[in-house]
Parts: sequence; C-alpha cells; structure tokens
Amino acid sequence: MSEFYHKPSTNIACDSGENQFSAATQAFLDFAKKENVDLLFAQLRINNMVVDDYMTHPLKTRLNVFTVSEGFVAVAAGIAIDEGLIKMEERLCDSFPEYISEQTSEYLLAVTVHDLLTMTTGLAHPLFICDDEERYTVKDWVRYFFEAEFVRMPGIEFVHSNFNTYMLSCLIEKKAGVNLLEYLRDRLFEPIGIGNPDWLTCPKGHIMGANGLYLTVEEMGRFGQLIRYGGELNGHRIVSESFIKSAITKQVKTGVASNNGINGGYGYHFWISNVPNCVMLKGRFGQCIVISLDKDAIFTFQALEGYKYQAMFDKAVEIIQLI
Amino acid sequence: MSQVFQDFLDEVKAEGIMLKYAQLRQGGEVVAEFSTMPTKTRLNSFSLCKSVVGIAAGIAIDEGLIKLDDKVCDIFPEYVRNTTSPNLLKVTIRHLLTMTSGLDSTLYFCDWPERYYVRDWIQYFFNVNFPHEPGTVHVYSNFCTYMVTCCIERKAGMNLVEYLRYRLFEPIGIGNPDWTLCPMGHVISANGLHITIDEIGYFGELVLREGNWKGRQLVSAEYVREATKAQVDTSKFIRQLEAAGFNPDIFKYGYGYQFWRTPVPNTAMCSGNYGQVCVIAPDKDAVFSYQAMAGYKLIRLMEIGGLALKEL
Repeated sequence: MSEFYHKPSTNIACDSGENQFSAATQAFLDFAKKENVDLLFAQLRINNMVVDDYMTHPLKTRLNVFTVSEGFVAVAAGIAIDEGLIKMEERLCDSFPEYISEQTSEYLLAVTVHDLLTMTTGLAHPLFICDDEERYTVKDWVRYFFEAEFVRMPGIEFVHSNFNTYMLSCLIEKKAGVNLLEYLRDRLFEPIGIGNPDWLTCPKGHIMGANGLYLTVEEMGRFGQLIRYGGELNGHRIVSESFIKSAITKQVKTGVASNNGINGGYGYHFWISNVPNCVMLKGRFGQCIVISLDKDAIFTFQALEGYKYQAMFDKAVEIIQLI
Repeated sequence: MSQVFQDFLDEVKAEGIMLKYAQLRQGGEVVAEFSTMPTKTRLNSFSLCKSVVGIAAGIAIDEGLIKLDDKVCDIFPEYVRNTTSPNLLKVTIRHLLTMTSGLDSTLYFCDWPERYYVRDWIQYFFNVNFPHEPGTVHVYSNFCTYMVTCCIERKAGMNLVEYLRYRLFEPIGIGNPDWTLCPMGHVISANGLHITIDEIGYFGELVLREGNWKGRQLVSAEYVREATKAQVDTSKFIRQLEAAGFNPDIFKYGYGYQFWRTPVPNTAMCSGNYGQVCVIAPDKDAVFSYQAMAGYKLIRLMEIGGLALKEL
C-alpha cells in the first residue's frame, strides 16, 4: 500500500490542477467534483502522518463538526470512568434529583451511562437538533430531556438523539465541577494538539455536547488517530484502551436502513461501518472522521453540503479501502 | 432591485464561488433570498460580528457602564506595569472602536498559530508595542474589538453574550445566541458569533432603523449614526494590505465604530472573512446580506458584492 502515500503533506488549492493526491483521496475528490458537493477540506493520515491535504481556503479554519463531537463526549466519558467520576452502570437520575418528580417516567429512572452511550435511553423521539426551532427558544435543555417522552425500557432500542450526548456531558460536568470544555482542555484537547478549543454552550452554560464543537480538518484527524491508537497518542495516554475498544465495537443494532456504510451498528457514540475494522464519526452537512484500524488510516473531511452529504459518508468508507 | 440581486447570484455562480446564503431586505421585509441548504444553519460570522460589539458598546454607554473616553488601562489596572507603553496608557474605548489604538501591526487573527496557544489574550495585548499616538493611525486588529468586549464584561460583571442576551439578541429574534469564548472565558468577539442569514438580516435592520426595533429603542439613535459614519480614514492601512497582495477596494472608504463605510454614499457594512457581509443602505431602505466560504476567491466575491451595492 506504500505507493499511495509517498507524497508528503501539501497545502494546495482545489483548482490549482497541480496537486498529486494518493489514489484514495483522488477518488474522493473526483466524486466530490462529479457530484458537485460543497466540500471544503479533506485530509488523509496514514501511520500518524498527513499524506494528503485538500484545501479550498488558504488556511485551515475551524468549522462546526456537528455530531462528530459525539465521539469527543464518548472519550470524555471514558476519561471520567478512568478517574472514577462516573460508572458505566450508574443511573443518570441519581445525579439529577432536582429534576425528578412523581411524573418522571420509570424508564427514564432506569437510564444508565451505558444507555446514554449506546443511544438506547428509551426516548420516543430524537428531540430537537441544531437547526430546529426549539433549539432557539428552549432555555433549560436538561428539563426538556426530563420532560420528554420515554416509551420503553432503556438498553433495548437505538434512537439517536443529541440529548443523550448532551445529558452525558451534563453528568460529567456535574461530577467534575467544571464544564466539559474545561474538563477536557488539559486531559484531551491540548495533549493531542487541539489548542484553545472552541465549544458552544447551551443557554444554561452547559457544553452543547452533540453540536457546536469547532475544529480544523487536521484536529479532526488527530482525534481519529487517538482512537486508532486505542486512546494513546504521541506518548500521551488519554483514556484507557479497554474503553476505546468497547467504544468502537458494535454494542447495538442501529436499525438504520441505509446504504451509507454505517449500518454495521453503533458503539459508544461511534458508528460501525460494514467494512471490517472501520468506524466513523459523522456530522450534518458533511463532517466526517473515518478510521480504518487495519490500514492505520484516518480520512477526515469537512463540507457545507446541504443535500448529498450521506453519499459523501458512503464514499469515504469506500475510498479508505483503496489504501 | 431584485434584478441586482439576481445579477449578483449569477456572477457569483459564474465564478464558482461557494456562496451559502444571500438575502435582501427592503422596507422591513425579506424581498429576495438565496440558499444552497435545506435549513438556515448558524455559521461563523467571522469579523462581521465586530459590528455587534460596536452596538454593544453603544448599549453600555447608554447604560452608563462605559464612556467613549474611558481609558482601557483604568479599567484593567492590574495589567499596567512600569514598562507599559506610554501610548497604551492613553488608549480609550473610542480608539479601540475606531481601530486607532496606536498598534503598528494587526496582531494575530482567527486562523493564525498564536490563536491556538496564547492563553491570556488581555496580557498579550498589554505586552505588545504601541508606537503610534492613539487616534492617529487606523490599524485593523481583532484585539481592539476583543478589548472593547473585555471592558464591557468587566463593567457589567458578566460575559458579553449574557450582557446582550436580553438587551439585544432576544429582542431582535436571535434566540439562544452562540458565541465562542477565549481560553480565559471572555467572548472572542472579533469573530466566533455563529448566526443564520435571517439573524444577520435582523441585526442589519436594527442598524438601519438606528437602534429602534419595532418601537423599542435598544441603543440610542445618535450612537448608531456615529457608529456607522466614517470616523477615521482607512486608506493608508489598506495601502499596506495592497503591498501584501490584498486589494480590497471596498475597505478604502472609512471606518466608524466597528462598521465599514462603502463606496456608495450613506451605506455602512459589516464584513467578515471568507465572505460574511451585511450592507446597510438607509437611502434604499435596504439590508443586503450574504454568507459564503469563498476561500481563494474572497476578493472576487467582495468585488462582485461591491458592484451589486452600487446598483442597489
């Protein structure tokens, strides 16, 4: 496979026509051009080295990674477990007694950290996400979750909701006594090269969790590399290997009928692809980290594509196999 | 006027520029719109939000929290040393608002390396050199905006998002506002406000109506008039940029309190990197906004936008 990554990292504009990308990256760029999608940045790392850098801007700029940030909250949970702040089987409600009333659903009372990580909290609906109307009007998002409809025992059925991630983040914040950005600043972000991180807060000051983390394509790649190396990067042990191993192993069926390479199941906030040993994080409008464990390859991209971004996720899983 | 809007879109498309949204408001209503997305999502407004800080300063002045002639060193005495630049000692809120702090260089911008490792940005500002007499030389710097914010935050006892939440954002329809923070917890302010194209339009409309939002005066009309007129000459600074290969004709027409003037008489502009623009044209009763990720074609986009403006 070495023939594909002899090219050193380059910062070349999309339309210069002079760039030489590896076959895998070139296949993705050809696809993007053919489909006319609004791709902004793409990067391929192999063996912890950047081998391809595709840029439509003179500098890498931080962009909203949307739900790619779920992966960061999962690692935060792993760190918090390592430190003894939270336990996998502990109940969420035990830490939020002020939100419990006689009306609280018995299903919700049973929700554990594990259920939050696997998106099996028993929620009837995903609740609101980033561009929904309520996102601009609801002030207390914790209360909103506690008043939501839970229709089955947790741990059974996968329903992807930003609120599961948000509540996991709120739980860690409560135990740590700082917001999730501060908790992760020197435990995760700075050690892997994400300096002065930017993550938005909800109206009450909690980190949004499932949205609002701003990263460059390179920073996404570093995080992917951390996952590939089982929670250790460049000599820093960030989170225990056993946690990462579980996080990227199928924990639950997603039941998502799709052809976009992600219906291999779901781990702890990581999507498991149909390709063996290939997992991904993905966000709205085309934000993606694909990690191939076998090839030690990380392919990341950022886009602002309104309609065809699912096909971009498909393609990313496909091209990483070319390495 | 809609024809001008359509011509703008056609030209942008012909150039292959990644325009995400555009909107024209006239007479208080949206009269033309363009979008490439299924929803209006919040995007980084980059330096466009400097003008929001400009308005925030007006609100804080109205409330008596700060005055235009307050010295930044009096508000942050703990950063003043024997070695503090004598010119820095004279810098006022007005100098910060007009980008005439006496700095000789812009200091770092949002995607520069220092932005990722400098922790205390106030300390950084207090440590740099101020070779010019404040008020004499316009040098556009994110730090001027950031320090205005820090002054307001200190006087208000809360960060700028909280300060503006019910004084500006919620009243004009920007619910649950999103603005990123520096490592010390101050609102980044020179960029990092994430807003939709509609929300940019609301802000432009507020400025167009001289601070009056549906009968409620959120900031004094006199301040808005001062903020949006040319307070300082920008041509010298822009000539410096030209030497670096950057030729933004549209920035040569003066600067108010965190607002640009444009080549078209009686128009003000908020402008951010990669193509975040809001033009306020009182004579046409119009607000023209767009959001783009224009990359290497930013200058071309600004030219096309400037031409459209002339024909509005």
